[in-house]
Amino acid sequence: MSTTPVQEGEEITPLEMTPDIQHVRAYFGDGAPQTFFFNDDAAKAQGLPGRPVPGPLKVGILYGAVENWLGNRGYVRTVRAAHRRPDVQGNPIVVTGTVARVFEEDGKQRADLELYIINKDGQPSVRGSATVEFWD
Amino acid sequence: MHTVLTLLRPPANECQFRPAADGVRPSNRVRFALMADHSLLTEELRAHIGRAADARHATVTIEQVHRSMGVYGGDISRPFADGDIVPGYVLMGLVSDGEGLRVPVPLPKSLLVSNEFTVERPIRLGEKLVAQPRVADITERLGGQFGHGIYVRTDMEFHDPDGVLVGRTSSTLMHYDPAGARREEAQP
Repeated sequence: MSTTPVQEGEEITPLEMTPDIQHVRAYFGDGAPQTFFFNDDAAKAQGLPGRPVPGPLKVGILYGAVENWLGNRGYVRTVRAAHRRPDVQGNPIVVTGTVARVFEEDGKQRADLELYIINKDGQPSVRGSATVEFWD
Repeated sequence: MHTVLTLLRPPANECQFRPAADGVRPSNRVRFALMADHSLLTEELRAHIGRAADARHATVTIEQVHRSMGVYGGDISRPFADGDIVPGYVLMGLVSDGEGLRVPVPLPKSLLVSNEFTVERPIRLGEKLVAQPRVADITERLGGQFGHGIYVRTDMEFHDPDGVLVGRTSSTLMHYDPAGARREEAQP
């Protein structure tokens, strides 16, 4: 059995970023819906403080942070995310994560991670988890 | 003498009540029971569970890999050749999520509450996949910060040309009436 290259409690490299309207346009690509993601008034009419960052985009950012941390040591098997509150375009977020459990399953070395997206007020806007598998 | 009602877990299309046995004051329980006096999770709505949209064929192309890496924070200068392992998040943009699976929930607003992505093995550049969207589940919650909510989970399964499951994406939307919500949080 090979040695797992991570330890429980290890933190993934925090990722700081500020999703903006260009980022949201890139996410939707061609045919972006003209909704409150692109219109301040429409967002405020929904009771939001500004144009929100789409939830699936935030999950992809979470996924990307795990991919970047893992590098060529293995691959990401699962990412789960629970959306707790909206993030507004133009506001900074930080993706953080910790290795919660290292284990062997089906003859493979795997690790569970706890993940968060933290908003500018220090509150988690997304709580997530991931399972990664290391190459033999 | 008051009749005290206690709300139990609702079955498919109605709530059940039973007399309270613990002598708790009736006011809050009766008020809650009256707010949630009927289920919106009808048989007609439940009939959508398992409904699938047309399967779609997709190929993992270098353009899709670069696009997803640009959006989700990967190194787009990294070279890939056919057959190389690519980041699994490329599945997220391969086909539109839940297209053609609109469920007619009789509540005016909706929020994305959760997502899940699973791959059974690494995804490789150039491989051909078949994506099959379907309504995986519809459940109901009475009470809570958003009041009466209907949760619709939509799955997209990806199979290889031999029919072997490669990965799955899943998203859950909560439909609710803001009139019954205590405060608004979560995610559009």
